[in-house]
Amino acid sequence: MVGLKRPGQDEERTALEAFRRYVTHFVNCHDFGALPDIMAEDYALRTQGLVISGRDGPYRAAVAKQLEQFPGLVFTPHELFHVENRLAVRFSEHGASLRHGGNAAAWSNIAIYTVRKGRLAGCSIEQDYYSRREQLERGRAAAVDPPPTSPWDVPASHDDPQSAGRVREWLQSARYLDQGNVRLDGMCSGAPRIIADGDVEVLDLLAGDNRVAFHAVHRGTLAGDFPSDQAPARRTAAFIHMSGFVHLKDGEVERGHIVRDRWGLFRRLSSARPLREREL
Amino acid sequence: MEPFIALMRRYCIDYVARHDFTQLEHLMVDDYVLRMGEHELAGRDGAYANATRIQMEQLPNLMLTTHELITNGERLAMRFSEHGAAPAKCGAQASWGGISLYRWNGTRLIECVVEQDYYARREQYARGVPDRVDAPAVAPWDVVARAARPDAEQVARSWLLAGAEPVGGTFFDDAWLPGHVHHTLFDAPFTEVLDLFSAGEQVAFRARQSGRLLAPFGGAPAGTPAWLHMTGIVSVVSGVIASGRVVRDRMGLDRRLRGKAVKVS
Repeated sequence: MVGLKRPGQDEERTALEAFRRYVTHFVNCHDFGALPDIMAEDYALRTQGLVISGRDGPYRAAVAKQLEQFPGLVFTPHELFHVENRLAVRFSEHGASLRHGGNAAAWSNIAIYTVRKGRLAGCSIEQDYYSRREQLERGRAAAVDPPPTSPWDVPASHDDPQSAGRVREWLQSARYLDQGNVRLDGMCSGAPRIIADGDVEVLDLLAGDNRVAFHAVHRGTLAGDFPSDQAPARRTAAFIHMSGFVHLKDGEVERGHIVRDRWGLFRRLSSARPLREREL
Repeated sequence: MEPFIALMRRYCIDYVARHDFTQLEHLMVDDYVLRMGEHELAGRDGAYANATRIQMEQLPNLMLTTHELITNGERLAMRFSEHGAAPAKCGAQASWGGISLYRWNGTRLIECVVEQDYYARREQYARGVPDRVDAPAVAPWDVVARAARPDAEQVARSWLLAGAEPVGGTFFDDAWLPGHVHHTLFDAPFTEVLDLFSAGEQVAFRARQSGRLLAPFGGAPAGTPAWLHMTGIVSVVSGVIASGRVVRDRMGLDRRLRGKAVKVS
């Protein structure tokens, strides 16, 4: 129940409680007044190779801009787990864009949040803005995956270093590109490889009870199958950030989702114009 | 944002999602009336608030997901699911559908008629496996008001009076889920339309159906006289019902047939 806070209540919040409050008291009601209670002042958002530092600066401006564009924006969680003070979540944001004649879109996101003293202190995330742009331009929104039956009752998971190790190997061998039951950018088959070879660096990872979420960057050369304003130059050096949420069975990745920062790559390839914080 | 939609957004997010009863006075008039099945809960702060508190205590992390919203500016209807875990049922989880029709006075809600599929909830508790939640609406709060269409209303009314059997892409209760089938409850039912309005080609209604049981239900044999309430939202395309959802008060029917008292507040 919502009510007056007791002294020290913030510090009692678990990662799940802090995250729930973020969803229900900030994102879904667009209430910036709730931010100081939900997010640490030095909140750090890591996405697209950028670090956006501070709750009240560029982060707030970027979110405000998004909510102006999508005044009815909804945050729907699809699956989550939490280990001690960290939480991983796959979710969608969806709504209609004022800048696209009211066309609607639903786009996928995978994030790992860190909670400190009951408030969100950091987030590693990739969001499928490329899919969003496609939906808004063609005027046909993707369906939203359903929420779990009871996301706010999910019990804490145990740290799972064995699964963490298996996923690191799986990523570094680039097997993620060939596993049919891991959806790449929402596609169950036929997703472009984008990067043909190279190395995957894991930037952040959370593992709990046979589930692993990760934030990584794949550096290599272009496979030549990714569209941009200019013809993709095969063998050109490139990188793409990605985040994933996978389930393991018997020590192997069984299924999952990966969101790649196709929008950032598209911008780099199309105009060689680097992303700035205000454009997120 | 459409004013009626904006009010429902606050209802769903500021009140239900946050379980914040302090919002009630901003959302509903004092003499707010909720009609569900055979029950009428009159008064925002009395019977209504008590009944809602009981539900939120039973499911302390209850969520509401919005699947469909229609409005013509004067009236609004919403198809939704409520879902969560019940500590008193050893943490068993359930997701059940509901369809509600609202009236407002331009600033606050004055009446809601609703049916929720508590029968499906009870079945999920019993088997220990929840149904999945239906897909959320992509842009529920961006819905715009659409003018009423008397022709669509007439098609829906005729379909209801003819017995309201599933046609086209219409699904009753939880029959939209894989593995679930439609249960025809009455033989040649009589349908009384209690409320009906449209927003464009979409028509929302509340009705009361009566007849003789087609098959045993609630411990009663086939042929037993019975009745129930239902609410629905259907789409009319080219003069026919093309799709829609209907929620029937199977739980109320079951309890009446078993002669069990119903506690609602």
